[in-house]
Amino acid sequence: MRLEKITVGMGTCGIASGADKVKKELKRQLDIDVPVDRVGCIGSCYLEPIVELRFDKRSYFFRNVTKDKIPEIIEGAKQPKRIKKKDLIDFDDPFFSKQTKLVTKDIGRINPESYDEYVQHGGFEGLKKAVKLEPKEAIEKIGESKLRGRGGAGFPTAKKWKFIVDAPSPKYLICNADEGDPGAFMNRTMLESDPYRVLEGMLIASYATGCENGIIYIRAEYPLAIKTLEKAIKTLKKKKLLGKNILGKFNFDIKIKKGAGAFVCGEETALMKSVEGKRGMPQTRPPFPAQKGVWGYPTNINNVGTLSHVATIFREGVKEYTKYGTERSGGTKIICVAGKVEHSGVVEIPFGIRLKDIVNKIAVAKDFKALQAGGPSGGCIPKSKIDVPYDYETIQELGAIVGSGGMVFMDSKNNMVDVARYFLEFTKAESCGKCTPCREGTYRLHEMLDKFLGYRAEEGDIEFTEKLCRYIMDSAVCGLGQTAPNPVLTTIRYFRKEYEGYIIDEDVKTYFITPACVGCHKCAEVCPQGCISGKRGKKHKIDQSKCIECGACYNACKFNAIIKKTD
Amino acid sequence: MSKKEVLDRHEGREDELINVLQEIQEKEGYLSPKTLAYVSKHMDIPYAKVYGVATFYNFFKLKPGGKYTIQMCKGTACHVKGSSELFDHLKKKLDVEENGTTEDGIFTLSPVNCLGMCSLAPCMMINGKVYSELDKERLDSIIDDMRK
Repeated sequence: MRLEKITVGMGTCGIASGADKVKKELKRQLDIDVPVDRVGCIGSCYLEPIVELRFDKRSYFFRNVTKDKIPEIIEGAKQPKRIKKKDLIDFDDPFFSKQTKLVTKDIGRINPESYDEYVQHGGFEGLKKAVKLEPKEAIEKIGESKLRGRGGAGFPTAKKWKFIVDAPSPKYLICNADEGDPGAFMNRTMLESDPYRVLEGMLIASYATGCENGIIYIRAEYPLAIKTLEKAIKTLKKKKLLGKNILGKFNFDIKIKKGAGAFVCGEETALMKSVEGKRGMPQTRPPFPAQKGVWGYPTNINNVGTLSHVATIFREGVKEYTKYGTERSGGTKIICVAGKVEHSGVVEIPFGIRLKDIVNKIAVAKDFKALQAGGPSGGCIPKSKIDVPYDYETIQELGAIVGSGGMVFMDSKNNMVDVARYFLEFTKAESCGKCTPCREGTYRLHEMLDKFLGYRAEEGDIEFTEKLCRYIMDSAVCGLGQTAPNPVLTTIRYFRKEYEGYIIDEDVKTYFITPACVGCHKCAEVCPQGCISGKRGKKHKIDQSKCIECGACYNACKFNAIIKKTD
Repeated sequence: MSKKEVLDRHEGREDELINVLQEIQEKEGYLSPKTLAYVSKHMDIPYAKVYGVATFYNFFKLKPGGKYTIQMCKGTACHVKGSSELFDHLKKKLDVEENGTTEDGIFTLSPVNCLGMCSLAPCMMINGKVYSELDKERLDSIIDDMRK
């Protein structure tokens, strides 16, 4: 076997785990003549830093590489027989074997900065196939693939393209890379690891819809992704795949616009305002972006994920792509798993996979309690509801959304009321302030949750909170407000008991014990009435009929588990 | 690059306002009222609009910051793994409020929505470098090292 090259995974996650140090040290110690290349991230962030020895016949991926492992790797480069299996990534692990890698096939395998490597792996085959068709036929193909927007709302992509195809020029195509959804990082991974695929998707979209002006709106928090994209765009200009008369068929140019940190700018109309250099506030529709978008020109906006799927569909063929997925949710979806799990990272799964397989086999969530699907606009799905297929409709029925595909896992230590308040704190801060239901409503909702967490809630507050949620959902202008109450509604729906635990019983005189009690028994020892009971290590209870409100227990508790009722 | 050069490079186009402010902030560390007035005058955009944009986006700072800006991630994955306790710990340790700067002018502590490093939560970014899988001890040693 001949060693072709050594690669080091250098996505932001890899670098944060020390991949740059590993690469430097590897280069220093390396005493054979072989190139050391940078690649992106193969998606298994929990195994970073990753070093690959690429031989002509097979590859070896070393996981969790530290400085001390480097001599072994170099030894392995010379004598592959000596490589120990325990140092390698086990691709038979369900984390990998349960995946269907179509769009993410090349991430972490190719050098994201190399145009040649992208082409060697089948790059721009999709574009070439697309331009052989008439633009309208190309849109039909996307329709057949059942592709739906991968950013949030899941709107059918072909339908969206049809809206703009007959609009007058100039027309704009915007790639939405403003991944502000906490818990989602698939766009960052894609742009850092396989940027040409996204650009190819844009080229196909431009050809199909006739949009000659391209804009990539990307968040400023992703410096590495921006740098990688800038280089790729420059290369494409040199290769005449951007500019005038591309493949003799169409004109297209791309500009990068950096965001400045506003979650609401992921919403189409707000994003367009931000592109124009204004405050990113959503607009009422109609007019729809396809009629009157950025600077008043017809505009089509697609997410990074959607566009990389477009490139993949044309490259692999509709037939291959629709082998996966369900009747109404076609193909695959890239999701991110993070939080209280053993395996965190970016994975690509076919729609229709059982949610419990994601939880138990891919993410491996032990002591699993719930997962938040779709970020602040999504909802919590409890353990009892995971035996369902993962697709747009089913997840929506559960009160959550597929959304961007971010999944954050929680275990029994996480308090669901606190989780709901966390999301409200986020949406409250990110509400742009334009419409009253969202601006004021999220404040009031946040106040209600604070009331619960401070043990000030009363009978009827749960019902009032639910009502408030409905009002906001029905009347807010844009998606941010309309979906902001989702985390609250789903946590009430599935974890009502936790909310009820915060409502003080009517018979409480002054003091009561909260679930924060660890059962140290200190309060029972100091109570002059002897009215506190409970087993050691278990939550204690005050017999309210005997309590004389002396406050001895309150002063004795070291865990702030005894609370004084406030009026 | 001076303010004027930044403006010239963007040809004073209105849609470049966010980029212009970003580049000036990168140079000067923050956006002073004087800077905003300068941009307003030279780009021919009303001051109120420039101010509106500068206050709308989390990225812009209207007050000077410390030598190091600690951006503590407040993403969901970080939250469920205890980032809010770490944030409170830092507040106490540095004796600053949210978005405040330490008295010696070394650290500014500000939250950031999500760094997209959820797989390595909890995490933070200090002057562009990401620190991941934090706990109190690691946080303390990073901060103490920078103080030296």
